Amino acid sequence: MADGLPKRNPVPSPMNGPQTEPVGRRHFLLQGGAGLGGLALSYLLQRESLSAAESAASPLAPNPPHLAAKAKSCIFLFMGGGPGHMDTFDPKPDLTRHHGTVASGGPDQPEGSKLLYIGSPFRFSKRGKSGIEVSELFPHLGEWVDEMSVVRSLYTDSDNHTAGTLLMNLGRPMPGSPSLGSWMVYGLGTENQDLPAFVVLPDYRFIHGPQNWSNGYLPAIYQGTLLNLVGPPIVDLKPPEGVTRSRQAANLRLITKWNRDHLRSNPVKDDLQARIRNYELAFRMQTSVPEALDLEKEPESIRELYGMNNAVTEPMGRKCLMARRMVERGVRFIQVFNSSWDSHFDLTKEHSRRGLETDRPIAGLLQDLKQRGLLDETLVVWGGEFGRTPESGRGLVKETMGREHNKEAMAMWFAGGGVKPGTVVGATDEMGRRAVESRYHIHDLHATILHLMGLDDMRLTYYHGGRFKRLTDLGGHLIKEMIA
Amino acid sequence: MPARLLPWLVLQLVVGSLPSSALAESIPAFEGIRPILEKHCLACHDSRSHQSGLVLESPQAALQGGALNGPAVIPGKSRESPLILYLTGRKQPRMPLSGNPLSDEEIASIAGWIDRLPPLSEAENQVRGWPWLELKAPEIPRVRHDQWVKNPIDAFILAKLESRKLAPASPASKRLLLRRLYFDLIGLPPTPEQMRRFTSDPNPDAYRQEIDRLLRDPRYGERWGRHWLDIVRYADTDGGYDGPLPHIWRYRDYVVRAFNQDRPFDRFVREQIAGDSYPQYGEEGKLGLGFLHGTVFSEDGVRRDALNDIVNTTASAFLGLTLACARCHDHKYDPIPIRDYYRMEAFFAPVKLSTMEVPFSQYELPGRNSKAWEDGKAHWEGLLKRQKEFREKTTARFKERLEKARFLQAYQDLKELPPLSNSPVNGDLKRAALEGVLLNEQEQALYHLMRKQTTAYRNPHSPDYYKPMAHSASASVGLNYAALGRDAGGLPDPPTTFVLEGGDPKKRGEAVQPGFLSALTGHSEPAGLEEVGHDGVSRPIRNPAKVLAEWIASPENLLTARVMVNRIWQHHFGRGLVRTPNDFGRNGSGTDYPELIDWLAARFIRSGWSVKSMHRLILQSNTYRQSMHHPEFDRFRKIDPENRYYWRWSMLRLEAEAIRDSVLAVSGRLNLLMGGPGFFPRIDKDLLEGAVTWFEPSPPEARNRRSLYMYQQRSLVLPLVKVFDGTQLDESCAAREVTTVTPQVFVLFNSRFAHEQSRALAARIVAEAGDDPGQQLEQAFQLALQRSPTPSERSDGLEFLGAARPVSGDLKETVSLAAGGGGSIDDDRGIPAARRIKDAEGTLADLCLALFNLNEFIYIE
Repeated sequence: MADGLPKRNPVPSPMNGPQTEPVGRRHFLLQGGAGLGGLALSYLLQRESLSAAESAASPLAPNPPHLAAKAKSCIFLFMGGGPGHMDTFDPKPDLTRHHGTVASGGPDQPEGSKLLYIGSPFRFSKRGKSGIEVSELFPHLGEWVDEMSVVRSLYTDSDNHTAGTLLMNLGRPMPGSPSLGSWMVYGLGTENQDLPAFVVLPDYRFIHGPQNWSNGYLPAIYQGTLLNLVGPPIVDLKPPEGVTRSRQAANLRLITKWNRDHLRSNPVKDDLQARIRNYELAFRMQTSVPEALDLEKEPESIRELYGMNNAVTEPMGRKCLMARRMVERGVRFIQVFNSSWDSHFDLTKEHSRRGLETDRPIAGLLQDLKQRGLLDETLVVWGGEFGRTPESGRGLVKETMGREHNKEAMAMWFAGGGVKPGTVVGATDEMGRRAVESRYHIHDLHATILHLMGLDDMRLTYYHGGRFKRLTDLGGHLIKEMIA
Repeated sequence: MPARLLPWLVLQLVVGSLPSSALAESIPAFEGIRPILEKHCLACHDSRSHQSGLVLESPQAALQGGALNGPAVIPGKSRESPLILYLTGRKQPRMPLSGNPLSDEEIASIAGWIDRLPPLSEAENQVRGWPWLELKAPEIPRVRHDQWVKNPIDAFILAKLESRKLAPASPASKRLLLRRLYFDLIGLPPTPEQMRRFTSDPNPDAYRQEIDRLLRDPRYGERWGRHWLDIVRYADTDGGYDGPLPHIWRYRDYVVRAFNQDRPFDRFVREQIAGDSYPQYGEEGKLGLGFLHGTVFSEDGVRRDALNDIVNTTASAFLGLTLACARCHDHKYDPIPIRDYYRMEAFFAPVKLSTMEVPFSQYELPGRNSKAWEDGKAHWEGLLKRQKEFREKTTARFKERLEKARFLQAYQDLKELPPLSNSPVNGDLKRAALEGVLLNEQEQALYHLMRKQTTAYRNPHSPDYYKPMAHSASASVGLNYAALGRDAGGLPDPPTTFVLEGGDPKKRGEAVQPGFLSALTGHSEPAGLEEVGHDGVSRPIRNPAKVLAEWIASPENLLTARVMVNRIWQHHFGRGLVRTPNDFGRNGSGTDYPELIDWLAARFIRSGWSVKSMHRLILQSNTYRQSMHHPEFDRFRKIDPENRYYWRWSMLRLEAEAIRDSVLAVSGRLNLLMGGPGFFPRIDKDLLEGAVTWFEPSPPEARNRRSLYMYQQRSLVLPLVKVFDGTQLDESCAAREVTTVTPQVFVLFNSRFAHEQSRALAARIVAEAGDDPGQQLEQAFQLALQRSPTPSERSDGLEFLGAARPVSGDLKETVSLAAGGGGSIDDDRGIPAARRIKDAEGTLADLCLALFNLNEFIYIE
């Protein structure tokens, strides 16, 4: 039993089964008390946050963590496609020396294959006080290495995109399980009931879809909310064009009045009251969500910081700035997608472009979080679904030189709340083919992320399909070297 | 033979190898402790009352234990025995429940007896009570207030109520009963006319006649078919790439048909597990095998994932067992060793999932309604053709631009242009689009959209839908596993099934033969895989899965009938007698009503596995007809807050599909066309763009079909369905969640769908009730709720409608638009917003929207 958590999902048995009637697992917002009957309608339409008492029954109400944690929010910067670790955060001088020579067969290499080693086309240099080496792809981001903990020894189970991406997000290589963000808001709830707890900022080039932010078998309220970057941010957040707010309010008044009449004649009130209250909340969200995403309110200097004034950096900059605004407002988990790191050929050009797109916005995000005092309570995670091979699968013509997928090695970094800054963890072999020192699996990565957010992966369980399930299956090992 | 000895016989069966006499002889004298048990325990735990399934009249019964904790005594281990734990209060509630605790001496004697019991082997320890017992109809309990007992169901319910000093509620009103029947059986509300007819019918038999009428209504199969589709994780797309399974709709229609025909459930089981092995089932058997499809898989182990899924889903759906745990290790809670998991899998080892030609029958849409069929076909073929033409034209234009660009070496941005082939090919274009050179953002987006629209496996608008094909399966003697794909390592499994340590395909253990679960049969012998032909000669059976199907569909199977009657109960009362309908094992909820389940199950089998006969029984019981009000509500609620014992009706919320269908039915727009390929809902553009697929919404008329027929794309579920706790498409869903969350407001109060249907309802009301606001209000309530407004609602409503001011002006406009434009209400583009709805005090359409959003609209009282 998850003893650190409220008993949201006990084993259903006659003794401790769901203590409710069929209609109501307690996944609603507000129960009991005076209910809505005693509330004046003027209150209904006011924009006030829920008091602690009112939100106590919400499945998204803030929950005490298992462990003391510094980080309250998490921003996961997902680099879809798989950045080459030897081209970003894991310098491999030996590989450069062997550039163009025949690779001496990794474990997965077919016998007799004549693949050639490719040294990274990107120069590495020591950055910051910690002197961590970062490639020239990230001139701005490199300034922030003293805030980072870089792990160079991760490995995963699949070297194809769909499975690898699912594994990184769900802990399993197939769809159907809850995502990291869903687990997090299931465990911790959220600080701001007027905004979604778990938001997703998409990249249209990312094709693996909503299964990666799915609630899986957790209740639907824990699913990630996809925010559209242009137009209305959430589907049906607002009524169709032509329906004014005053007309909506009049309609809401009628619904509430009639629902209240109905409530009086009904012996069991909880769910009915919750539903009445939801209309009020939804009405409030219609303004709170666009307000949170309104970047026009940001001063020019800030927009510049995120690279919003440059066409190349604008898309990522916009998402990073949105992420910061949501962190400020207490959103628990924000997943920012970047994509197209899958450089099978044209490594130099393709990785350069991805670097260009993301370097300034991410550096801007770290700087902005830092200057606002938010970095200490925000965990920033950067990484893709796997690393890349030291060899080219497509020959060595300069223009077509590229790298294949590699599940045996990848690099990621953390920054912010609870992270041990300026550290490097683990190592790959001399060519970067395989993590060899302090190897960590994706389950370990997930356990560490949860830990930094105050959750014990072993205790974060949900009873489903005959047993307690968890993100890390049988549990992960903490990457202790990354934790302050 | 005294009935109470039966459990012990079963125990012996399971133990199998152990000679029963040896065990019986070595049991220390029970007589020493029997008086203590008689004095304190047997009032509730004799064979007549057997509370929570526990009987303490004999050592065998104590070893057998109850529903909740399994064996009450663990031989040689009194400190761990549940009996002692409860008697000492270390487990709560302390026993006896009413009365003084036992003295230390009494407890010590019992403990001493337990400690002298010879230890049992591990296998024996795993013996559980119900439901691992032979199924036989129990005696119908006697009750005091027997005038309340309409049929034996009531006797079982009332007996429990009386023993708990509870009493049932009086029957609900005729109006509420009819609403219950409609939503329960067909998933739609009654019309005002149907309601008037029923409530004014003085015939005492009217209620029964309504049940029969609704069971004959083809909507019944749609409603109950949907429940079954939840269990078999039905989706219109595969579980890997989320690409279309273009013929799987035929399995969906097969399920609907099976329920409508009241096909015997044992046959329904056989068809879905091994339908191709029963020539007498014809094409239906082949369609039933659609059950085996729909696996969620990773690209790393398609075949292995498929086998796992088939084993797990078969166990969950038919046996109510969670077998998934035993894939990697012995089941921790139920007596299912890992070996049994792979013995079960071995039945399916030669199964080849395939797409095969199966002619359409006269019961399927092409046979029943050829016009609807041809129209649908023509629509998508035309669309696909247009899309392809558009794509060709556009890509030609893009390529031309690429070609030209090669000669403009000076322009800065073009340095990044990828090297091109002599003339640009698709690969070049793809790279240009990905890199964002030469194409602006809209053009890049367009490029990706066109690819999704026309690439075969991403595009669900496939003319393949209309081919007489089916996703079926066959036993492949030639061991052609291609359709199941590769395993890790790229090689097909050999025909032998191995126990895989930790579920890891690389860690092969012992080879196993197909065999039934030892917990149910009492032995681990391989199943006989021969059958006797017409010529009297026995020969190896072609498809071992047939042997499994026979075993599951047998009346001797301990679980099949129990599991199914529990599901039927579940969908009438909102939860099963076992609340975890996919898990009858130790980790499931267990039940307070094992006897009622057994009685229903025995009756089910005797009725020829007729699901409809179960409905009749349950719906005609007084238990079902209770009101949700009770004169003793406050007192009883303290005793039984969850209404576990059915002393009143518990309110239910409609599922997502029933909510949507009800809105359409009330607005008058519901299209009752049955069967055929699914329709494509209108999904928000931004959601669609981010999805792995793309589809053009079906024409409005088709979109107004029942939600059952909505295309089930795993990763792109209609928000209305998703937020109202729609089923999880990736694995068997035993029971929908019921959550009440804010985004539900968006889909029912803000969405285009809700607004369109509100206007349609308003138009309908004006057409049926005229211009008078009072009449309009009456008709609105009748249609939505099948009742008149209360005086207070009436005054609110009239005030909202602007009282004396006639408000039909702008609605007439809507009506005329609807009449003239053929579905223009559903498609309001081009009509200026200001003209569509005037921002007045309120309009009839707004009032209709309010009705759709009422609690009363979506809860069954």
